[in-house]
Amino acid sequence: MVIRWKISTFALTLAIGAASAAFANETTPGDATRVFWGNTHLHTKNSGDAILFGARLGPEEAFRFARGDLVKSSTGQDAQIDRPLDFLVVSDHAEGIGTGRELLAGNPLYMADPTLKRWHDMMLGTPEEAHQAARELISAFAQERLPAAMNDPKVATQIIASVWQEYLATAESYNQPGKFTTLLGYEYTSTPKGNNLHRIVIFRDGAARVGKILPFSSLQSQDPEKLWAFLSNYEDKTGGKVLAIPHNGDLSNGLMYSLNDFEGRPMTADYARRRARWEPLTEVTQIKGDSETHPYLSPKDEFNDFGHQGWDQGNLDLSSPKKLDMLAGDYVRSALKRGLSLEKAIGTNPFKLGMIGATDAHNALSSAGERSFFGEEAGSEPGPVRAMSVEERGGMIRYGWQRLSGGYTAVWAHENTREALFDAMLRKEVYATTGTRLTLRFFGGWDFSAGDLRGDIATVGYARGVPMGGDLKENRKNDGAPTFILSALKDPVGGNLDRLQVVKGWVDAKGDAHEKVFDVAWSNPAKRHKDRNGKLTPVGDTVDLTKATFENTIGAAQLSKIWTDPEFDPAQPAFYYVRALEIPTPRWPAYDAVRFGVKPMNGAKLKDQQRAYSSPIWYEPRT
Amino acid sequence: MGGNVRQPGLVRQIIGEPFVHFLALGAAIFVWHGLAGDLRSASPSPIADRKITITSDQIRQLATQWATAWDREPSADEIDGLVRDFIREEVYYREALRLGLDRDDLVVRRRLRSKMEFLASAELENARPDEAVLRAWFEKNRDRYLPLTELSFDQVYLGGPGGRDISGNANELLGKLQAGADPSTLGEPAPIPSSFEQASASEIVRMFGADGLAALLVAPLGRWTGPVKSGIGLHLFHVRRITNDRQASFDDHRQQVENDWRAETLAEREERGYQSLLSAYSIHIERLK
Repeated sequence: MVIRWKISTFALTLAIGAASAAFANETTPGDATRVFWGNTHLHTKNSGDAILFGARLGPEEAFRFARGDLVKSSTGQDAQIDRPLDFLVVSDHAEGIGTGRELLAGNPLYMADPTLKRWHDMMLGTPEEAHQAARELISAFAQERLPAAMNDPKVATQIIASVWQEYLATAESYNQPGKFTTLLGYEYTSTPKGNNLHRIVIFRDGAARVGKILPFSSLQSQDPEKLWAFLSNYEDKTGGKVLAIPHNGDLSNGLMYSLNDFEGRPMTADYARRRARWEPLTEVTQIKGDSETHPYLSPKDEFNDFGHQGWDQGNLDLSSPKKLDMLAGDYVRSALKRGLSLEKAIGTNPFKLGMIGATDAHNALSSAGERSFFGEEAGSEPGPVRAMSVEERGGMIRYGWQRLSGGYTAVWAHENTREALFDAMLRKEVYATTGTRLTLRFFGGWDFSAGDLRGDIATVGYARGVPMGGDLKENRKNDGAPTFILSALKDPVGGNLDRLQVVKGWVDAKGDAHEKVFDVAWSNPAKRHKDRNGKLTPVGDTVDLTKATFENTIGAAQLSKIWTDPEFDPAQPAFYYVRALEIPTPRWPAYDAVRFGVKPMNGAKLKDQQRAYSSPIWYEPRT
Repeated sequence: MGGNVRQPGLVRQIIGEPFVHFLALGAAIFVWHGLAGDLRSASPSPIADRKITITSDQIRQLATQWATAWDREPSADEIDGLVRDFIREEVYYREALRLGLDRDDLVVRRRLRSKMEFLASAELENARPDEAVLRAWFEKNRDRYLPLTELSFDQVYLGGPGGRDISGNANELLGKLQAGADPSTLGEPAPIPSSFEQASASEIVRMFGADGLAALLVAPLGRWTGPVKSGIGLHLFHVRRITNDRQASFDDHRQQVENDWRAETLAEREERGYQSLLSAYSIHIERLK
């Protein structure tokens, strides 16, 4: 279905709080001395599915919660974030943005349609009826059988334009350069046959530019190439800047990082160039699973068992089960490897991806972190049985406890503004965490040595190397291996650090890709050693599940190391990223069990090692 | 409603929804009396008579709405059909009320409730408050807009529990620093700057924990001190400046004040409107057996 938007008719009259001129400068590399925390993926009642599942908070409450205000949640509970965030992207689904809200409100443009009228009545009925309405609507969306009134461009455009304008005006009024940044964005929700090809779109600009367009949605095209064409057109038309971030490869059944394009044709260099141009980052971890890697793909990785259980059963709506040969197209480490192989084959790397984390919560509350998890949607806000929910379809099962608490994005920038944060995302000077706020630096260069590990490592890192997300220019001085600075500090209220690892991927002369995980720095090195097989003594475990507590009597507050690749071959293209692991700490279902005095479900995972993933640094040989 | 609030779009907006026409009278009463605090005398408008008049304004409105949905003007036959349908709806509607069908219907109850809540808030969502209202509100809530405490300081990290800890060398390092050594070249490596300019309290808490902020706030100004404990380990600190201005400026916070005023006034008026209605009722709750 094609919808032609009549853009010119939407003369926007937005009260725009223009960013002060002092904040409008381009970022100078090496200036990025501060780390800013945020959530790049959050839904409110403006998303059709969110409101159907009970969300009653909009963008305004989402911004208020993220900056630290006390709000009432959709289920009427007092909600306050444990520590304020520096920035937030409210990213509601573009597909009929606001239509769920209007359905609930009984917009007369909808009430003429008997199905929509029925859903409206069900939404106002008992919780069971409301839930049934949600299921019917989502299923109709996934199967492309939405009632005509919802697909009618005239009706949809009216509703979408007004909700979009309202959102932009709210985001403008909450943007406080230097203190709290509201980046404008939305979600493009391409889901062919239930396979997740979703992207978050984030703008560098304010409402003056973004208000000139309406979000391009998957109702216009499910093919991400059409989204890129729209983004390109946006930049040409407005002089603005925009990027897209794919997420949940784990629910794509092999499609997210496929070697083929949307139509199933082998990827061309042109496709690869455009993909790399518009999609410099990936959301590697969020509530619906962690997409770093999978035991099947990385059997030798001792810490491969994180956040994939349940999610790897099938695609987004469990309409189709997962087959093993799909996994390589689902997970990010594999995508980074495929990128190197494709570059060798077609000349361009389409998957040169920096890493960020986000929540994807559907209740307007950014609440990553095991102790503070406020739920995925209204139905999983804190309560005694939320970890025990069961979603079952065709023999595939997902349990409530398999939800992660969600991730956060850390951005290295010189100030907290739309421009500085966006520019850092473009150059991939960002990292992902699974909800913890540990601080992580990663630099690559050719001549770092142990003597450089003193005090503030950023000065040396920028002067003689490149930060995370960068490219190692070929060593012109000698044939030595690249050297790296790794440095991490614990979250001041979180668990200590177990270890820092470097994950390396490379391609050999035949074009085959390989991976290896190196333990680089760890706590208590006097007592912890590598055994004959290279396996390091485990850090230990202080978790007490009866009280949901842990002790920082193991692990280290800080770990730093200069590391040289011991297996470097200058002829092999490679990537390197850091994985920082904390000591074991209780997961949110364990905190719930103690808080509500309930017995956790059999088999529920109650503790884990929370972690951070840096954006990679790439090495490319001279051609 | 206070005279200080201009109300541009309320009426137009509500008229756009035909099924709230019947509510118009009750709504006006609600807005006028309910919020003024006197609804006890008002009773719902009874639909007693059996006379239906369709005004030319109503016909025009039915036609306009049809045109919006179909993107063309309705024909005479179509207008005829719209009017007949409107009469049918009106007849059923009045008879349904007479039979009391609205009373036990969950959907009707919920919709009416949400309409009442909407009426209390719709006006404020579009209101552009006068400067004087905002200034008064700002004065009352001045403490919320005090400038953030900001600290400019240098630090040398001495390591933390479980890792290397060089706090034993603290005196030697303090000596070097007092003699002018560059702090970025000293101490244990850390992924954080050795120098902070005008860092906010919340930024410091996120990086050093509450302990770290507390230590910085009591550290002597203008000289190196330590070792001092924070949420991430031990440090030497050199606090250069603490700005703790107790003056809040309205102009710097105008947008924030308006946002806060709107959000809180909304909740307050909704609650006040409800309490005023509630006060006309006497409520008896049976004990659970």
